[in-house]
Amino acid sequence: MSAPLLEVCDVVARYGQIEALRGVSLTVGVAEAVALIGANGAGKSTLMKCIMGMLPCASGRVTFDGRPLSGRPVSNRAAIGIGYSPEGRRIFPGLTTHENLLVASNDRDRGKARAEEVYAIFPALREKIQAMGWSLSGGQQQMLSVGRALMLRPRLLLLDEPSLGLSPLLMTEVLNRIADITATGTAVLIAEQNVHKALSVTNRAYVIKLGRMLQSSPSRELLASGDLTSAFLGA
Amino acid sequence: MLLQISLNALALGAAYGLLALGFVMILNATSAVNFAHGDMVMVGAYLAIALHGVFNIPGALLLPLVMALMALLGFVFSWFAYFPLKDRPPVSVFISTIAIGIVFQNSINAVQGAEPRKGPALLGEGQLALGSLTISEQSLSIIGVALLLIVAQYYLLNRTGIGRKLRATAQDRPMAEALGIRVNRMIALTFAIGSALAGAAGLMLSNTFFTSPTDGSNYILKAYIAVTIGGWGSLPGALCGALIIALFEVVYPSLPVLIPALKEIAPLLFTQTTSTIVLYIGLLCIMFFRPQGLFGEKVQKRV
Amino acid sequence: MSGIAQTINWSKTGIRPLLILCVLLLAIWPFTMTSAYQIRIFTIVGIYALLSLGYQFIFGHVGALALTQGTFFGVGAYVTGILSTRYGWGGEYTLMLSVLIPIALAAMIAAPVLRLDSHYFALATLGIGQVLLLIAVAWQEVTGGSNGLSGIPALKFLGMEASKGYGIMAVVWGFVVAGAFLSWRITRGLYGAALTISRENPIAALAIGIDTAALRYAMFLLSALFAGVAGALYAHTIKVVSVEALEFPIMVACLTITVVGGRTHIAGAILGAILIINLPEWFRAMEKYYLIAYGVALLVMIVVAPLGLIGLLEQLRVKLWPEQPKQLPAASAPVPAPHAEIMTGTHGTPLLEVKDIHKRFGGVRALNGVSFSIAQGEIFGLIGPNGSGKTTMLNIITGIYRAEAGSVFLLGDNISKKPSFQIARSGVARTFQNINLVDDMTVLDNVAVARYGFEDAGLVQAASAGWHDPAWQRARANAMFILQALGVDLVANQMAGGLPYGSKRKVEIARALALEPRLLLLDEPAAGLNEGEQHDLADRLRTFAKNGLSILVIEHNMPFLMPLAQRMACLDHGELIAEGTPLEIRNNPLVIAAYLGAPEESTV
Repeated sequence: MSAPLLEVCDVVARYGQIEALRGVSLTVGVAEAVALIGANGAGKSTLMKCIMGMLPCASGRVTFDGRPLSGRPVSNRAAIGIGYSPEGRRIFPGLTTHENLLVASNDRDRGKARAEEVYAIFPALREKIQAMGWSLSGGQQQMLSVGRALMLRPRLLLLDEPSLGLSPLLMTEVLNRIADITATGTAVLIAEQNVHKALSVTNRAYVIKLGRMLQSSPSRELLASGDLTSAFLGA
Repeated sequence: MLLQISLNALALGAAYGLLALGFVMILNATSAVNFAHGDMVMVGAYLAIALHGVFNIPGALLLPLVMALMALLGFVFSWFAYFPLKDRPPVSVFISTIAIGIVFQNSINAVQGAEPRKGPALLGEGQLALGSLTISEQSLSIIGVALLLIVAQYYLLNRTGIGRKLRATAQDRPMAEALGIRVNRMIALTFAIGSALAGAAGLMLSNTFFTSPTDGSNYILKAYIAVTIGGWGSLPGALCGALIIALFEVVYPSLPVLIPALKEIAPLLFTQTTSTIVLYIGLLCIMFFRPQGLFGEKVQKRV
Repeated sequence: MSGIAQTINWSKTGIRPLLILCVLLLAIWPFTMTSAYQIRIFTIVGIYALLSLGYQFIFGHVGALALTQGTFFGVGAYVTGILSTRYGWGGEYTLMLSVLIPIALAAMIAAPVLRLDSHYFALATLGIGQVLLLIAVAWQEVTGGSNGLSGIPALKFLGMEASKGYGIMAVVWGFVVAGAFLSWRITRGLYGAALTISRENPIAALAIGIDTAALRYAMFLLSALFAGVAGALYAHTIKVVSVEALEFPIMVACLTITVVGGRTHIAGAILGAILIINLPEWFRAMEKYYLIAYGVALLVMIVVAPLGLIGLLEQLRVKLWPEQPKQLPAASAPVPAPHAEIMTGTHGTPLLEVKDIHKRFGGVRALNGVSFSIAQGEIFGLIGPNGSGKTTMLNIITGIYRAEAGSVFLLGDNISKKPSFQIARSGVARTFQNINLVDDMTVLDNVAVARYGFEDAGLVQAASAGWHDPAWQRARANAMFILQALGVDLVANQMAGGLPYGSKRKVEIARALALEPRLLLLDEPAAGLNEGEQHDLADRLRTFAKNGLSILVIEHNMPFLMPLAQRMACLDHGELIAEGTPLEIRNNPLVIAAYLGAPEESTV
């Protein structure tokens, strides 16, 4: 098996004194779709922020493509090939759909061409090209957020809770695109509360609880077994 | 007569508009009020006067040089007043900009003295005859040049890549950073552009209204009122607010001339001084009843 | 211990000997002065010290950047100038009006601007200054216009005249001492603690029943009072009043003094005034440029040492001579508040009733017709995935948000429209997801300040209390009692910021209990606690409930919540999808679907 694209090793992270991550490890392979599932407060978003460099790792290391990520500024992630769609989408409200996409790219012409490819993945956005960000619905914003993260053709796409605030139908529409995305060679790490959906669109999954990795298995196996409920709702 | 007044108001509004625009851009990018912005206007005016002393050319030709130098000043300014304090509460930046404003004011005072000075006209100071009307050349030039700058600023922000990045940084800085935008550079650039616009306003206003070192407080208040009326954070709102202030400042004292009956009723109510007082009282009323202004979102009230 | 022994003890602790030495030197200094000019400068220093002391109330203690201090000063100066030269009024009247008129002005301005955020407030206050300046210039008959009024007589009070030189200097510094004393009185006890938490954490302050708006208002008026006195004395000192008294350099000097000296330290106002006013005197070359020096000093201080010189000294002192921790008070059980008694005839009435609450934020429906009720003495759990509306519900109950429709009843009383702090005083206490303690206050003080609503505390009470504030002493004794009940009394004297997370949680709960609540709302209380701490917390909560306290717990930690709660409800996307016993909730398919996603949806 080839070297993993993303490697997280024994990362510890704190908010003040709370240990949000107590030594977690995971890997994501090239063009692989991996899910990170767990209850709220388990540490999913925290881990995403550590990978992005928005939260410092107290100890442990994160490696991307063999190179360590620590010490690099946040703005460097996009340049080396990591795309980020954060929790709550955070599209720029005062920019149009098209501008939201273009602002993520560096080159004008390549940007326009790439935006076309994004519209191909999310056709619903094409009708809203000139609409202002704040006027888009939750689902459209989520698609835009993912599309924006894809603008620089990242090798790894980080999706933080894409289903938040979305109706089941819309969420399905968004998450079903993941297969298209990995097909083009981009690996996806998705942190999700909606367990069933997340497992159905990924190859492997990690279960995180209260800052610790509980288990890691192929998604199909986890779906089949019934013991997820206890991880979330207690015995 | 009415046309004369309208034109004066438009010219004044255009100049105020440049000043308010620069103020709002910096506000949006940093969430901090730049108290020295009014003093930037004053520095721009003195710069224009100094340059005019060296190169005896019309103000319109001096304008690019003044704006370039002011942009540089704005860039350096951000280094001292903003970046050391960017992670602190916004009140710290307010104080640091007050401090630098004081330095500007009093440095100019020390070098140039306190008497009001007259700045160069953009093109000429004559009067143009248009049929039965006489229109001041300066007013027309101000309207023309300011419009040009406003359009240029609009084009920069809304039609260029770098403008997009500036707006994105102003709307959500951490997200912009996560997308690879060098946000510190964007903020420094915003200060540069804002200061350049302030300097342009200074050059334009100094011919008709003269300039003196203490003008800064007055200008920052105009910017503030314009932005409050128009809606905190809205660029078109700032322009509207600037126009409304100018209209008020020009029309209000002229009311007794337009409506002679008022001269008998309340002669004291329509002086330049009282017009300012009425403006401020009006501002307080707006803040009480509709704090979000014309175009703004709901103002954050303390809980 | 006798009063004298107490005083001697007090003066020996920490750097107090140094402080006392400085005060003595300051008292001796004027007698070493040889020229009338030096005495005049020293008098002006005193005036600015007084001005800055007043400014500390609104700028330092409340934390609002007001730019009116110079304006109130100027108004005070003009009132004295006008009344004494044009109408020949004596000092008793001019002084009184020099104080009352700025206060009235402050009261008028405060209504529209005080509730706004910093930048609005600061610029609005600047605007008012400009207006008054314009009036002073234009209203020539009264104010003398740009030339001002000259020939202001010496201060005459009840027949006694303050002579030139030492006389007026003594009067000014007398006022400084009085002002310092008043400032110390107001800021040292319960009221001072309330000011601190209102500044550091306004939401927490409201949650413990402090009317932060009233505090801001009182401090704004107090700052105007000090400024008015300073202005009046200024007129009597320089015998002239002109528009210069209303111009911006005075505000600049005041701001610089306060920032350089230390914005919450009384000694800072005096030290700042000495340094800043003497700067152009000591460096004669600076005379033309002294304002530039002020600007640079202000910039350097705000970047490098925002707490001022005295603040820096204080930090140094803490490192070199750590003060002995204050003696802990003996614990004393609080006298039950009227509302804490369960009223007879209300048995059967639910303690909390939430009826059909609707709330949107912009286009998002946060709560869509949620209703539930909690009985007296019941532990009620509220669960739901992220974004389902749980914390929004909490914020509506506590009055931080207003619902668009629906009502909240507390023992039958409709509290939907009440302000936040009043709801807290009615017996609704809460904790926060991110612990909202004041890091720079001790654990004991953090809890004691929650007794504010019970002690009839206020400006007048604080100013008139003796050497020790009895309200504060009682509050601390009561706080001690509560800390003991929760088992955190051993850390009572530690700074709250340095505690381990589990202890901070307990302190926050202790603070909530200090309100003698009937309803306790806990937002994710088990987050960050280890298993032992969780068991401990659960046990304590059960005891409180047995004693009649109703508790609502928002939690994600099911192993913690399920054994604890007697009834539960589950929210999803702003709707209440299930209600019942923990077992019923656990097995409810809607709840399972909300958390995990329905199995059916996985088919593409």
